[in-house]
Parts: sequence; C-alpha cells; structure tokens
Amino acid sequence: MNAKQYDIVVVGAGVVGCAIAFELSRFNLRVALLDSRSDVGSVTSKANSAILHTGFDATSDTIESALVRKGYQRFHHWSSILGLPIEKVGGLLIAWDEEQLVSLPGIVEKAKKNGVTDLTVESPESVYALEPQLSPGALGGIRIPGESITCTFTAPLAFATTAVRNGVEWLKGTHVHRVHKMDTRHQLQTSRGIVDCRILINAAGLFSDEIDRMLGFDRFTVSPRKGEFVVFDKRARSLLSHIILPVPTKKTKGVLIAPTVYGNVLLGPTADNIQDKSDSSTTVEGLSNLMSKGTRLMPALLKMPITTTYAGLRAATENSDYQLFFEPQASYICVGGVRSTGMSSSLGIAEAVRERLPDFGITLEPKPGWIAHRMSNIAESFERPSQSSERIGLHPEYGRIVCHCEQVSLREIKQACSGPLPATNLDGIRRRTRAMLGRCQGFYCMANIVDICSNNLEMSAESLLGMADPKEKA
Amino acid sequence: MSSATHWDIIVVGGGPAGLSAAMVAAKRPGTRVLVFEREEAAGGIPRHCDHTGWGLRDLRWSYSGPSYARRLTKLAVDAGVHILTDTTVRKVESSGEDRIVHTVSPRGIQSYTASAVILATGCRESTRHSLLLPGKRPLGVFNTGTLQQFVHLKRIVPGTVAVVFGSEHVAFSAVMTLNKAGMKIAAMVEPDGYPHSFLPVSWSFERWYGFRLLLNCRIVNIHGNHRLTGITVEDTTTNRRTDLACDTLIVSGAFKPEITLAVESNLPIDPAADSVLADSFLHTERKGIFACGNVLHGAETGDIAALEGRWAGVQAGRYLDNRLSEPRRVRIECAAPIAWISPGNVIAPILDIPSFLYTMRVTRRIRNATVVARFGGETVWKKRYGTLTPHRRIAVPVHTWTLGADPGRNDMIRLSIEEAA
Repeated sequence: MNAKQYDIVVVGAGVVGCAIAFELSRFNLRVALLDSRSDVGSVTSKANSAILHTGFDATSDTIESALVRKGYQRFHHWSSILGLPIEKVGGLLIAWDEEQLVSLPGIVEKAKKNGVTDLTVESPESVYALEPQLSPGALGGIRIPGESITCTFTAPLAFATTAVRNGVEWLKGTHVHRVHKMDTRHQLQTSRGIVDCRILINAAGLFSDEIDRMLGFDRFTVSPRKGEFVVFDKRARSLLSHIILPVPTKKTKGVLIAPTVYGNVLLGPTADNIQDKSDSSTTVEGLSNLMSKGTRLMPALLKMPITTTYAGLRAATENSDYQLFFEPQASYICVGGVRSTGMSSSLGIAEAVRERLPDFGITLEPKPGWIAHRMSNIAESFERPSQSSERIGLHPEYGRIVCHCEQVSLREIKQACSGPLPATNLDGIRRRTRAMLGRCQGFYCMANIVDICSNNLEMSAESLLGMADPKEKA
Repeated sequence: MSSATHWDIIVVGGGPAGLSAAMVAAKRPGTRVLVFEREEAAGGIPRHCDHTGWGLRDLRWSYSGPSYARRLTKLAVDAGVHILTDTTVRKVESSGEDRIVHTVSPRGIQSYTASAVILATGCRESTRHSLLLPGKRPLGVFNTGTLQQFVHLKRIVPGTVAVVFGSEHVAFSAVMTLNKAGMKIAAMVEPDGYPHSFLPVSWSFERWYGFRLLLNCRIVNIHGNHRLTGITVEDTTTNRRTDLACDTLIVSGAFKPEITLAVESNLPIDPAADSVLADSFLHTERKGIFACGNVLHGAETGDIAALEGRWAGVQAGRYLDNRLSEPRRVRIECAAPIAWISPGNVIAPILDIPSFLYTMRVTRRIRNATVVARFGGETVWKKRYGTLTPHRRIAVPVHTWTLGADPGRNDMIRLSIEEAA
C-alpha cells in the first residue's frame, strides 16, 4: 500500500494541535497535522472569549494549572515573533454579595499558589474608579493585571502557518475512521487513504474521546459545554477597560464582559451541557439570559448596538482536569479534555509534549533554517496595513478598502487566498482578515468578497456560498 | 497642507443625497466641490436596486436604480463636481475655519481641507445578529442589499429557495430581486400582526409571487452546518412552531443610519434614532459640517434623500457666504410611542424650510392617533392620523409651525401622541 509515512501525526488542528505542530516543526522530524475540516482553528478554537488566562483561578496542582501558567508565558514570548496581538488589559473580578466578598482572600491565596502574585484586592471605591460604568452594588473586587486579550483567529493560523512553512504537512479535510497498530507503527484509515506514523498525538478536541477509543483506551467522554456570546459595537469599547469577571463557582467561570482586540466588547459565555458535538447554535433562551445578565452588570453596555452573536463548545469531560496521557508503549500521546483554557495553555501543552518525546525514542535535532511566520495584524490597537503609508506606497491595494466596517483592504483579502495556508471558504477569509465581521456583517462587502475570492481561490461563487457540493466538507 | 488640496465643499458619500448636494453646491459660482465615494463607482444603493420608480420627486421621472445612479452622477459631473472613487474617509476634524478630511485610497493616506463638509454616508439594514435571531451561522443569510449586489452587480444567484424576514417596503423589493434571479420565495415572516408596507402591496405580492406572509411569527432557530437548510418560526399568538425549508434567509429592513464616520469624528448623535443630529438647515452641531440623506434617519426613498441633499447643498453654500444665520436651535424631544424625529433640531424662527424635511417614526402601530407638538406650554401643532405604522415614513409639517416667543434656554419642543380611547 502506498501510504504517506510520518514520524508523528497530530490529529486535530485546533489551537492545541497547531501549537504542537508548531513546536515539532522546529526539529528534524516528518510531521503531519491532520483535521477533518478544511481549515485550522475552525471549530472550538474560533469561538470563545479570546482571553489569555494567567491561570490565577485554576485548581491548584492540576495539569491544567501548570500548563496554563507555562502556556501564558510562552504565548507572550512568541506573540512578538509571530505577530499575535495581545492587550494586557487586566481582569477585575467583582464581588456582588457578602458571600462572594468573603471568598476574595481565598482567591488571592489560590492565585499565589498558582504562581500569580500580582493580584490586588480593591475596595468598592477603587472598583468604581477603575470601571465607572459598572452597575451599582459592587462590594469589592480583585484586580488581576496579567489577564490579557488576544486574537483566537490569529493564534492557530500563526502556529500552523509556521509549521507548514517549515515542512509540516497539512492534511486537511481528512477524517480518521480507524487506527490500526501495524508492528511499531500506526496506520490511520482516513477519508483520504492510509496515513502511517510512528507516533500519534491526539489533539482532537471535541472528538478526542473517540480517537482515544480507536487506540484501545476507554477513559473519558467529551460532553460538550456550550457557551453563547453577544458582541457589541465598537462604540461600547470605551465603556470599560478591564475584563470584568464574576466570582467563579464550582460549575462555571460565569458570564464576563471583555474587550476584544478588534475593538468590540463581548458578553458571555453561558454554560449548557449538551449532547450534540455539532450544536453551535445560539438560542432564544441563551441570548435573552445574556442580555438580562448584561443589564445587571453594565446597563450602558446593553444600550449599544449588537454586532454579532455566536456559540462555541468547550471539550469538557467527566473529569475536571485535562486528559493528558503519555503512552510510550502504545506510541501515543493523548491531549484530550482541554476546555476553555486551551488557547492559554496551547504552547504549554506543546512544550510538555516536546519534552516527553525522547521517552518515545524520538531524537530532537533542531531544524536548520527554521523560520517563524509573522502574521499580518488584524487587531485594532496595532497598525493595520491600510494605516501604513509605506505599505500602501509599495502595494496600492492596501489602500483599497473592501470591508468598510473592519477596514480590510483588497490586498489583505487576496493574501488570505494565497500563501502557505490559504483560506478555503468565507469563514477562513473572516478569520484571516476580519472582513465581514463588523457591524454590517457583510451587508456592504460580501458580494464583492465572494467575487474577489472566486477569482483568487479557484472556487466558484456558488461553492463559496455553500451551494454546489463543496469539494470538501468545510 | 497645500492650498491645492483645499476645497470649498467636500461631500462624503456618492449616493443620491451626496451627489445631489454636490451638484447643487457646485452651481454656486466659483465653488469647488469634491465627492468621496468608497465604492468603485458613484451612485450608492440604487446602483444595485434594479426596479423602477427612482427619481420621481427630484428628477420628476421614473428611473431604474442603475440609470438613476448614472443620471445623478452625470448631473453632478456636468455641474463641475470632482468625484474620487475607491476612497474611504476615516475622520473629519475641524481646525479653525477649516475642516480636515482624512482619507485612505490606493493613492495613499491623504488629508484634504474644505470650508464645509457634507456627510451623506447613507444607511444599512439590521443584521440577523443585531436582531438577535438565534441558531447556527450557516451560509445563506443575507440582507436585501447584499442579495441585490449579488444579483445585479455580480450576476451571482446566491441560493434557490428563500424566506424573507420583515415586511417593510424593502422586503418586497427583495421579493422582486429573488424572482428576477429565478429563486423561489417560500414565505415572508413578520413578527408583528400586520405588514409594515402598504396592505395592497403585500396582498398583491403574495398572490403574484405565490408566497405566504406569516404574521405574528418570529424566528426561533436557524439550521444548517454549512449552508442554511431551514428555519423554525413560532407563531406568537399560539406558540406553535413550524419548520420552513429554505437555503436562503433574507433579513430585510430595520435600517440603521451609517454613522460610523460621524462617531469617529465626534459629531453629536441623536440617541433615539442613532443618527446624526442636525437642524432645519441640515447643519450638525459642529460648525461647517452638514448631513443629509439616510445617515439622518435610515432609509427614505432615493428621491427624498436627493431632495435633502439639494437642501444641504444650498445651505452649505449659504454657510460659505456667511449667510447661515447664527441659529437658535431648539431640540425636538419625542415621547413613546414616537421613536424619533429627524432632523432632531429646529432652527427658530422657522422660515422657508421644505415640506419634506421632517419625518418621524413610531415604535408600534397606532390607530386614530393625534400627534401633538408643544413648546413652552403652548400647542404648536396638532394632527390626527388614521393609522401610524412602524418603519413607515410619517411626514411632519414642521414648515407650517410657528414657534412662540423666546422660550427658556433649555426649552424643547415636545412631540407626543394622544391615542383615542
């Protein structure tokens, strides 16, 4: 059989799988990144609160807590190299009743245990000085200066693009049906034929339990937890400066209000346990709950126009910690049950995986000529290509604005259609450029963008609009 | 900034309002007028509205959208107006007697100065998200404007079977476009118990195009992982839910003024209409900056926008002549169920303003309503209306009003509705 052969295959191209592929691309290894979707970061990694967590509130002495802390540091380190936008806006956790107020010192203690030592307890006066638009009634709070916001679209793309530029093969639209053990190797039966590898890394997110079972284990089940979000117009951005957090309960971190790096404000998430792993729908109840919660937290916010709504799933399991298993005997690494902290921990997980590879008989030789791929900035608080006279001078199409709400230029759209990891659909254009994600949601520009993309992606307009059977499942 | 880039009047937006404003302003002797249009051609929304009936009140002829757009462009160019397309205006600032207009275009990042600026940035429809329509996010959910761009500008048929959400005039325009594109119309869905357009329109469209108008119906779910496969609607009188199969959902109407530039430029906004706050001369509260067309109020027909544009062009010319009298601005405050009135300010005393200028909207349908304007304890105006319908233009004849003697400094005109018992 003419199978593709690799040293390592990473199954799942969410932010965690992409970070692992990125890490592995730095060494002389034959690596493939595989996903059933046609694009990276297109399921849970795209739809969350986009917060880079310090891990101050993680349960101490868990794998999650250690990896979030490590991942947070590494994310900050790589952000300047890869061009990942970060705004260290800080978090402000608010106590709204006596019970929550008395729990604050405990939260500070726990944060210290987790290595986050710069928290400050704030009086009601200083809470309102920091966030004057908050509803009245806050009894106090904790400021967590390190909590940051970043771009959930750019991170997996930056990791995967760097990986692909350095020789990692991107096996998109490849669905794993079965995994066979052949001597010392894995044979993956996929929708695109046999993929053969020495070591399999399971980063399949919502489907990590199914892959784990294919390897003969039965130790956890992913029961997705849905979170709905409402995003407000950029005019709301001036209403707040911090990520406004509630006191977390055992079940959930609760509904927060956070600025986004695109200059909007988001409200969410809800937390509903569901069965269907494809159910990323917003609901009448979810949205109306958010609206009434938001009104209680910050009435002025709810007077602002709504830009968009979305829902994302967290790959929660029956266990509270990550399902990280190293199985040298089985040549298999499981990175399952990574929930809402995935983006924060992704580079921490990648490092943990890399550190254990020698146990799997892998020799890590650095790859000569490895290069980091710097992403084009799509965040609001850093310079965009169309704001640079120099870049427009070199390429006038940077000055031709196509998406007016988000100020995306023609050249950026064309670039999203090319390069090592081109977009494969309109959603991919959105995540690479921000086009169609603004207040008009494509009212002005969608027809134009479909036209531009069909010329630059060699896809028909109908196929881009999901009408003709697309060549691959998006 | 060299004087070569100084203009008398800069108009932002090359739709019916902006082109008409520019045309009229350019007829003032020696006046240099520049229009910035962010699209590749001037003309605005009519460029992709391929039905007839455009231009009745301003050009006194019935044009199709694209020919109306071409006609207005030609009239402006013939009057000596310069039009720069593919140019986005990011901000308008004031510096002494000058307005500075910051732009980006393939030519680079450039600033232009003008003595007066006229904003004519138009409006857009509400999105599915801003209306909080729940469900998945499949492809195939578009606004009417997007549908019309697909069909008329790009020759792309974006689906096969459509449901239209909303029942304003524009919803019926969507029906015509869908029909022209060869798409089937499965239904029109309206949350209220009556169509927002005229009854004869909805009645005849239903029969002619063979669809049902589902009143008292809200959308409670949108289905489809990749492309839209259907929606679930709920009859709010019976709570009965029905699935409608469709691959296209046209979210129509509920127009929002496109005030982004105004907000970026720190212009005062009328919170009720979420529009630019202007007065009887379409002068905003920033000296030398005017606004006209749908940025003032959401969608009016193109000819009304054009007439407002002409009025703004005349007033901007008077401003250049220093003949725009130092105004006594009086705010009009609306009480529910009046949603808003536009323009939101009145210049007192009221002299020679056009009859089409003031328009208001209500938030719900009201029968046998008397609309009353009071100022300083006196009733300025009173009119009885048979039926007032949301989203529909209600002309307010402010030009007939006489405001009483000098009121207190903060006095407002209060507009309210007295409903018949």
